[in-house]
Amino acid sequence: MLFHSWVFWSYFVLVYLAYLRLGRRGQNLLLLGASYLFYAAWDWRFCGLLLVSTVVDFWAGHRIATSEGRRRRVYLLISLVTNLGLLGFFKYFDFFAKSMAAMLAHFDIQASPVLLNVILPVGISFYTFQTLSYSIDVYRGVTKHTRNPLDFALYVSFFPQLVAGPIERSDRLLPQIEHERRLTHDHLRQGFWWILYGMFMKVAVADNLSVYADGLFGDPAPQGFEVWTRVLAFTFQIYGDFAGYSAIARGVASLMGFSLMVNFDAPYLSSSPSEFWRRWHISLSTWLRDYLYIPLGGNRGGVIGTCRNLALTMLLGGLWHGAGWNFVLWGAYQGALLMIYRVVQRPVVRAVDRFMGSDPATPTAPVPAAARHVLRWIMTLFFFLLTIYGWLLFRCHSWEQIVTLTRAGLDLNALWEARDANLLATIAVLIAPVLLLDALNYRTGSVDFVLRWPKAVRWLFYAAMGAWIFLLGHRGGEAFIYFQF
Amino acid sequence: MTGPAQHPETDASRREHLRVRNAAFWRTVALAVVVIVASHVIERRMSYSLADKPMIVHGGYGLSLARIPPKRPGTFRVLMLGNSVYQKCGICQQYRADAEAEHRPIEFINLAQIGASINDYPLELGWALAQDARPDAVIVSLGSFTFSDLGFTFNTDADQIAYVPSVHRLIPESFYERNFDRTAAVQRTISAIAPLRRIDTILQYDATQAIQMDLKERGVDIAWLTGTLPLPRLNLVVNQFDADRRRGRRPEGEAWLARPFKPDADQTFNELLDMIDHAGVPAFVIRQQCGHKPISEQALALIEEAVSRPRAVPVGFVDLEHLWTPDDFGDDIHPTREHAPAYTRSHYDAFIRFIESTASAAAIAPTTSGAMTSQRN
Repeated sequence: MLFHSWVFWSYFVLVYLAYLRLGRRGQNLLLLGASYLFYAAWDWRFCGLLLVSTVVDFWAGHRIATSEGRRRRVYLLISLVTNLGLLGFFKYFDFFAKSMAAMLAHFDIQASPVLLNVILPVGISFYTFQTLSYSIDVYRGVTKHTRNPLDFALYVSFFPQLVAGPIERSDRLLPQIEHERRLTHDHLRQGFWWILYGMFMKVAVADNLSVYADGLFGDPAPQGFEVWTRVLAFTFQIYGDFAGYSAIARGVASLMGFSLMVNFDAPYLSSSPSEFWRRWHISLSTWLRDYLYIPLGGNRGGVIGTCRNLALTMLLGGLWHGAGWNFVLWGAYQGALLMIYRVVQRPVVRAVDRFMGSDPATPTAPVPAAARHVLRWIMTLFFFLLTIYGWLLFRCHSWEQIVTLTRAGLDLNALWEARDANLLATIAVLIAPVLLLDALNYRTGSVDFVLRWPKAVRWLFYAAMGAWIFLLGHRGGEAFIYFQF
Repeated sequence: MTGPAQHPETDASRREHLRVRNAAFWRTVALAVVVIVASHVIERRMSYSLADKPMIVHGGYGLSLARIPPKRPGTFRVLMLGNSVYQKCGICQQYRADAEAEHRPIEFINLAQIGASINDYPLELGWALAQDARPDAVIVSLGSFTFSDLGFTFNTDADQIAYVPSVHRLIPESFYERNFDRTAAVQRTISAIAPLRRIDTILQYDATQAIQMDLKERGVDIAWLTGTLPLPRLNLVVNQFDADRRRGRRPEGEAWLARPFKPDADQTFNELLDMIDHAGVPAFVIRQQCGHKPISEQALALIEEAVSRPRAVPVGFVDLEHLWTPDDFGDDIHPTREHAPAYTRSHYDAFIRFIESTASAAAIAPTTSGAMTSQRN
């Protein structure tokens, strides 16, 4: 049941109409049933996993909250083992088994690994992380455990964000489930806008770009120009796809009086890797920060310790995206960028300040704002190029393909050969509105900038976006990329 | 920016909440009603009479836009099922012209669609019968790809009308059991309730074409954009004869590489003949030639077995393969512009001979007045 399908909207209208006629308890029961039905639409058998995760974490949360001393740790461990066990079993077992066999083959040891060949349950990475955060937060005393199993079950399975996030924290979503939700006009306005924005990102941008991006990764002899334009297409495809899903999830939740976290915040306008991770998949990056990076020591262990923690966090973050070495490599690449940035940041900033005359040690004239602006955009562009290359690593399915595409992309002689101006122009047409929306978001600090516009202008803008979706939107019904993670 | 639900409990805020909730409820109801009603109105406005048009105009799409008007008294109505050869090569026009030249009171209604497979035929027929088409005979034209398995259950959008109740009643339940799982059934049911779902692609195609043409007239050519974007093409060739000029190119893409036989093709073909039988009219099956590749032997055996089954109405079968040489087919599949009239004539003559051998012979006898001259092509 994809968000951009008629089936989903028909389903949602029915659920929503019933929802609006019920009290809080009735609403929660309805949403719980609707969420399980939503999940069962993919494969009803996976509802069992959802149920296991829910039961174990509800029980563990309760036991952690009511126990003392070492027993609390035991219950936390049970929650961790169960959730990570489910994730490991369904998502990573075959990957590690095959990788181990391949490694042994290097030493001339032939192993025939036992493979499970199970289908990856959609959204398992998202809801296991969500339930894990509950147990850990209860253990840490950050959040109170809930006594109502149905409320907790809804927290785990809430359908707008069940299969691709945002990964909500219990201290944010659970109170919204436990208390009566007061629907305001702001909720409706915001909901409508986020849904329209999400549909635009998915149908008008991501699905159209997917056609060009897919062309590259099946091409046995790509040209330099083609490599960069098509990886650029993938760069915006994955953004439009995931940000689109998150936006629709937020919009749907908002129509019901819920507030989900903003998951993307103009990430490609970041001028550094650390800023990128504050703007890209925010719910995952903050999860990794709070439950992995900081417990590992964060930036408290000096440069080496910080770099180690960053590397480990990003490697696991990469692996979270999928059971494949390309994801691990992408995580390592992002980790390397963060580490390099961490190491060079201070000396470079100091050098720039000195160059511009703003070093406190040698005060001269104040730095012109325009100069800072230009420098910032240069850094943004530079970092954006690095991000694009990161997506190439992410999307390639073999080491050979990475080498082939990298070579082709770096072949400066062939870079402008066989260039396809129409292809570039079309991709530019598709990404231009995304950049415009991001620039407005960046400037105003929120995608809700539209809601502050006069009503007539706002509706004109909605009509323009609607027309764009209708005229140029892709009708292929591609599934969201992040479902597979 | 709205935050988590932490509202102080006051009467005013509760009243406001209930007011907004009520407004949201009725707005949603209104929106749903508007979408459903507008869907039907738009589809109705876009629809056209197949008595006026010689074919379904959106290629492999838009079966639901094709309407069949009530039969005029004194005419012998023939429904034609087929693929691109019957849709786009002027075949229906030629049938109509030949009948008119012979002063026969026959009305040909062409339901053929580009790429139609045997799975699409029962739905196309069901769509016509549900509109009270009251045919007197049905031509079932079978080509090289009619039984092929291209990897899709349906090759046209005929499946979008499968759950329209009036159509659903006419098609055997076994057909649904084989071809629609729960998801497909839900999707087609939504198409039946809100037809915007099934015509959305056509609307997009028509709108982008109209804008493109309009801009071109104003001197702005956006073909660089529309030609590159993955916009819908509707499997549509404006004129199949254009293929003549692209000799060697195979417009059906991978069709030649398809598996030659759908596993349940025999059941579907028999269900189709059962539907015609149930309608109480003669069925005339034509095995037509498409280019150089003959229909598979397995398919031929299937046809012969099905047409020889005892039924309440006459079922005719004519094998018109091997009448032609590959040169008669410009693109390996469709007859050339020059060759099409003779090709059609062979089909037409066979059909007339068949009807003349049935109890309906008198109904197609030439009239002296030449009354049947009003069919527009």
